[in-house]
Amino acid sequence: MKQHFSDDGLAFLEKRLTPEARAQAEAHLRQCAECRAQLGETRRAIAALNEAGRALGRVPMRSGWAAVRQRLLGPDVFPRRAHAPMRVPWQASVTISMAALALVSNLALNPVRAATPTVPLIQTPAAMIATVSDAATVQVVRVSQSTLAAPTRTPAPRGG
Amino acid sequence: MYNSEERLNEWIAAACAGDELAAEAIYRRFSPAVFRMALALLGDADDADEVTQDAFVYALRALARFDPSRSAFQTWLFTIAISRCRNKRRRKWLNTVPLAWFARLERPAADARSMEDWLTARGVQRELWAAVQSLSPNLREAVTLRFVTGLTYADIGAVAGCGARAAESRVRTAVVALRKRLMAQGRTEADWREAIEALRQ
Repeated sequence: MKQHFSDDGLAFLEKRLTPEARAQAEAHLRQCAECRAQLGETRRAIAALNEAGRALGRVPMRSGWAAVRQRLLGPDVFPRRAHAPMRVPWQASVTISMAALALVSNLALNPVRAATPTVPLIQTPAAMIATVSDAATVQVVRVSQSTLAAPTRTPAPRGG
Repeated sequence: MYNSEERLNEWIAAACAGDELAAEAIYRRFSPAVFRMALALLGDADDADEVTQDAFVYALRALARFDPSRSAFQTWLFTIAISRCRNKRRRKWLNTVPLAWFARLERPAADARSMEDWLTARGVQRELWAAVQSLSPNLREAVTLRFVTGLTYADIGAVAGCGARAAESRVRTAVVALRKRLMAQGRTEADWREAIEALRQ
């Protein structure tokens, strides 16, 4: 016995089966109530779709040849673009926004780094000494200034 | 013998040479089918009208590039129209979809509502239209081109850009899905007969 219809009998209904396959399908249909029921439903669904197509064919078109002719021959060859405002594609606006955000956040987080000269990754020994000595000098000056500006004193114990 | 194919070829040649009457004849012959296909796919008469206009404006401007050795004129025209239907549907979906749709993972049916109302007013079962609209875009296109527009599988394959075998497979899958959905709603033989008769009026 042939197995159930795998395609709901569409090929059978559209008469696309070979004579041998059709004979087998008919033999199966005589024995199988389930496939008969499925075939009936498929036939009705297709009939309703065909009729829906005919019903849609009765919907009148809103415009006709005159509208197409005007667009083909009229002065406004591209009427929709004639006075349309310039639009930036969304990909471009996202890219621009992200770049602006990155720039602002970089400046906000590292305000000094942007102003100070960068130190080269590879330094000569003389340059390294100069850098270290300059840093030490700055450190000493800062410590002495802070000491002078705000001297720390240990409060004397009261009484006694 | 002077058949419709030869007449069409004459119209195309004349329209390419600037004959407006020939261009109009091409429009009058094919615009109802293009409009009906767009209407079935988009579910809105205004959208279908706009797509039909766009497709003909493009096709008539590009008529000199049409190659009859590669496809039939109707296939070429439907390919142009279906591309515009997809764009229209995509744009409309992006414009109209509320954020709630994303949360519920449902397909928006706003663009289908007007046609659903139109069909329902003529006695068409709402379930059939809702079932067609619930199919994926590829399946909806295939089943519409097959049963509403009446194209062959080879033509559907050419229009949808998927080949005849894939077109047949899509139609088969769509029919199975439609049948299951409609059977689940427990329609009786009498219901079906009534619905189909209503469509014929």
